[in-house]
Amino acid sequence: MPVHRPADRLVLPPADAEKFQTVCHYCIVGCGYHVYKWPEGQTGGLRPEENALGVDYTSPVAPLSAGWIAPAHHTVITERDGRRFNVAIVPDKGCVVNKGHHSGRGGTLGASLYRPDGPTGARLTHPLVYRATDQTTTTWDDALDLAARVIYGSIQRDGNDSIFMKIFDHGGGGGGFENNWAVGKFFFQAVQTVNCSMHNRPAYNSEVHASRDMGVPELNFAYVDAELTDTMVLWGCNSYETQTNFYLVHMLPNLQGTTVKDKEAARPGEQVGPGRMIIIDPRRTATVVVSEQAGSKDRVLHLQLNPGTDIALANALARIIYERQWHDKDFLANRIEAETVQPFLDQSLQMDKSLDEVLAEAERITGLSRAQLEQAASWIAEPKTDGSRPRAMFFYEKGIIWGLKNYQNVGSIVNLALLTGNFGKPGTGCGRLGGHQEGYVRPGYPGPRPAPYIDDLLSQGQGNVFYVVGCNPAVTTLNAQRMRETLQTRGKVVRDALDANFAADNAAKARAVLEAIDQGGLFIIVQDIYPTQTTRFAHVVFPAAAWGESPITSINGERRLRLYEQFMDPPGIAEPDWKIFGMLAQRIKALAEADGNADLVRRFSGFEWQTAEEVFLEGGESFADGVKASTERYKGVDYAFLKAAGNNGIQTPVTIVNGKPEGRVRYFENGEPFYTESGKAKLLPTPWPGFPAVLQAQIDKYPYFLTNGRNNNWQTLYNDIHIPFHAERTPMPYIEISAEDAKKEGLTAGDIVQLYNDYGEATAYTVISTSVRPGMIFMLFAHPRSTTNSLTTPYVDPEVVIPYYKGSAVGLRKIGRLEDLDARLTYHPTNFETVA
Amino acid sequence: MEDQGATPPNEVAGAQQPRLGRRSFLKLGSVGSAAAVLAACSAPPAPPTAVPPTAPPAPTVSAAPTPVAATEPAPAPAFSDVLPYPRLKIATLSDLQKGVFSTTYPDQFSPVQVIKLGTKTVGGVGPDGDIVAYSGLCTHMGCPVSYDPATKVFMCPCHYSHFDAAADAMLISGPATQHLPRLVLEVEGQDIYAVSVQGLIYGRPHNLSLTEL
Ligand code: SF4
Ligand code: FES
Repeated sequence: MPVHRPADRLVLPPADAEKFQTVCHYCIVGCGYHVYKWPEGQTGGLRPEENALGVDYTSPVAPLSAGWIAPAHHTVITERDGRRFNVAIVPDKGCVVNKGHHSGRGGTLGASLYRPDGPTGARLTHPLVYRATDQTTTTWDDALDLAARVIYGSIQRDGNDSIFMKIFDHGGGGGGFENNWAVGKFFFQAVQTVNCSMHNRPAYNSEVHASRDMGVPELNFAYVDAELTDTMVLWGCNSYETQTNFYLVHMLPNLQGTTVKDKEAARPGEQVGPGRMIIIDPRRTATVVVSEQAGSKDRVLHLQLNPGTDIALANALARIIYERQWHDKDFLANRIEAETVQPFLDQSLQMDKSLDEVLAEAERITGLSRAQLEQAASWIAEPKTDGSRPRAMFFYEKGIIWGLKNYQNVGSIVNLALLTGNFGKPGTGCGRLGGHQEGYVRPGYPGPRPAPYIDDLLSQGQGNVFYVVGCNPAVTTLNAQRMRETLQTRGKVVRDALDANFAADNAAKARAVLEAIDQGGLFIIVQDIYPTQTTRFAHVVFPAAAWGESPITSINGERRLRLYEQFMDPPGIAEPDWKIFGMLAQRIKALAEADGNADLVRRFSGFEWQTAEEVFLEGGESFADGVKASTERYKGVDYAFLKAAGNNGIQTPVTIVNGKPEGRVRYFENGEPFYTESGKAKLLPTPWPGFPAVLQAQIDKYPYFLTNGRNNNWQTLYNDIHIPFHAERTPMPYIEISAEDAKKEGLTAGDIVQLYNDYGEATAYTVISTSVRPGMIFMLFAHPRSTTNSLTTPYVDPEVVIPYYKGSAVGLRKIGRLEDLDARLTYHPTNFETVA
Repeated sequence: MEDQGATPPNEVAGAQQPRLGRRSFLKLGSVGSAAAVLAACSAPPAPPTAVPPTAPPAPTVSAAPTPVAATEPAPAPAFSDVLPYPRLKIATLSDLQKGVFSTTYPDQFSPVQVIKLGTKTVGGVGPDGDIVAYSGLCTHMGCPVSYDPATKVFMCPCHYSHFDAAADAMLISGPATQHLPRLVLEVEGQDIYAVSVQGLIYGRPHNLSLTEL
């Protein structure tokens, strides 16, 4: 079966096409794009003055010139009034983030847009309510009324905490400052529940509490710093596939030596040369292979450590650096709280033991050689021949954040950056690389820290209402099989009640639902853009607007705030999330008014927003003034300012100087204090904890260690499965297994296997790859057709309630073959190393 | 032989296929003086060495193409859903002894690689049903891809998009957003003819935008 190929021609935007500025809504990098929109049936000409791109199509567009419209950049949309338009979404050459580049995700933004006559026509277009045996299309008033009555009745009868939620907290698509403010105002000011959780985890928390506790906001560098540094440390992140244009446009040129002149300019008088890269990952990822090929092997060091041993590695590197006196003594003396040093030396560096003893232990735990440890420490911190200190940057993401123990994982890396003084100068920094973009602005969360582990509570029968927005916990939460069982069994009690009351009005239905909740039922509301594995359990479904269908604002991984303009209508009668919360709050307020409940009337007031910018400005007012600005602070900025600032925007936190908003490139320059009471950073004691018992039991019982990760598809593929180019390449999840283990199991590429352990099962096809060592299996994360999270344990870091998604153990069973896949798929591994 | 049945299910073909407007058809006939550009562009595809993504790849189309003389536009051809591809002999069976042969189609600005896979494949031609041909320009940003006969994989040296020649040039991974365009081939005796292209060749608004029509 041939692969999907677009037509052999496309239409060009005419010179007078409408033009919008926007930012790709997928990954943290936040690449700038331009959107061109013009009526169907019109086309621009080949000469530069005849098309809106100003590109000369009378000769071939030059390679790497970013002037070509790829077919996946283009689609034809239908507005609510039936008018049809061409839309082309092309990378912006003038944006300093991506300089005209697109990744496989951003390059298909055009193809992802709603068109009723294509695969994206599967979008949710109208509210749905569960009536007799099925979800039925209905009006906003009807669906909002039922949801409002159940929420209102539940709060009145059982209290605020009877309402549970799992909702995005991020920027980009499905988020942004506008939607985040509305969510926060609804749940924290109006509902006032503590039983909240973020889209990808079972509690309400930060993924980098440790860094913040140490005084280091996690987005402290600029992308240009990766061009200016000596050593890039990529820790638990596969940036070629998942932060693509940060890697390709900023890191790779440094590795290849093409930024040396910029380094000389930014760091006068220092000895500089092509950059080096240390990649710390239990897998030999595409990032390792591409870096070795594109740079040179002697400037790339891959530390393929045993999974879960990052803390031991970080501590060993810090010990070598300290032992060799390569640490930044001035920085330690002046910028770090003195009383935090000794506990760090004792517990992280184990100064009571000899270096040899500590490194022998580190070799045993991490599986790395002493020579590798010494080399990494030297690349990070050994002074150069001219005596100058090298500059290093420490990037970490899900391998650390979702690693063995989130708090110490993150803390041990921040320790290294503090010990080596890598803050506040060009070419330094330490922070997460990010998954989604950021865009957090909310009233304060009323709950404690550590926050309640709401997946556990739901499975134990707690909670009356579960409100899920813009995420898919049936697939993405830990121990997801348990979540699906909870939604299925508790949801059915409510479905039965609704079935029995099919002819009743909403008031009677809501009473029946509350009775069913007493019998163990759970009322499930899901708000999303597509039907998902979670919407199928819902009693009420609200259709949300997507990127481009309502304006949003967000920041990227270097805090670049931009306006993502609206350029088309939402499908059907879908509305942006902020508006849905506004309508729901107003309906609940009306119920409270009818009841004379002054408290709830007050709490559910102030939701009458008419425009996205109103919500943006209201959220902005919540930021405190002062020096220690929260990372996102954008107070003083409005849409008109952002429109004028274009795709380069402004880097938050924003300060108003002489009435004008000013951003900042990087943190901690010119002695800026750290974000602690003392203004000095704190070192954190980070002893290696070993595996928790719940995981060790699986490791002892099953033959393979299971890890997971993304490829260059986005998240749960919620858009990708509706874009033929992406969908056909990954119709179901795959595992990567070593040639040795494949032989042992009698597997050839393409074989369908079932993985299982005490918590669940998943089904995938086989790819044989050098990415994993014998004894380890990798599975693609969060594919909607079978999820690796059915196999994760319920273990979370008890200090912060962040799961250890990256580690589990499984048995494997060969199921057979799906013959059609052989004709449809390539089984080459995505790290490009073909196994003979 | 598969045809434009590559249209995905659920997509309405008429809506999916952008219509070629009259103005761009006028332009089809107006590229008459491209000889200089042509000379600069008929170089073989790049060797498989790494090229910094920020530097232009070795053989490229001219950075400053010769401006096209403003000639009287030719009369517009009648509208058709099928571009009028030329039927051109692009190789002979004996050219494929090494497994791969580089040439151009439908014009000399468009490098293509003709490949004898060694195993029969869907749409493959020739006595063994294993001959295929693909555009040699990466669909990401147009760098020339290189082919490794041992793995049957195309690699782009600019940002490392990889395509599996044995799986219809499907993208293995990388930032490209289209599989490599594929040539529709016919064999007559010893001669291999290209008759059309499926998918859009990098750098053009339609595959015959540089062809005298
Ligand atoms: S790198 Fe990230 S932001 Fe940039 S185009 Fe790709 S997905 Fe979008
Ligand atoms: S031109 Fe970018 S991957 Fe080929």
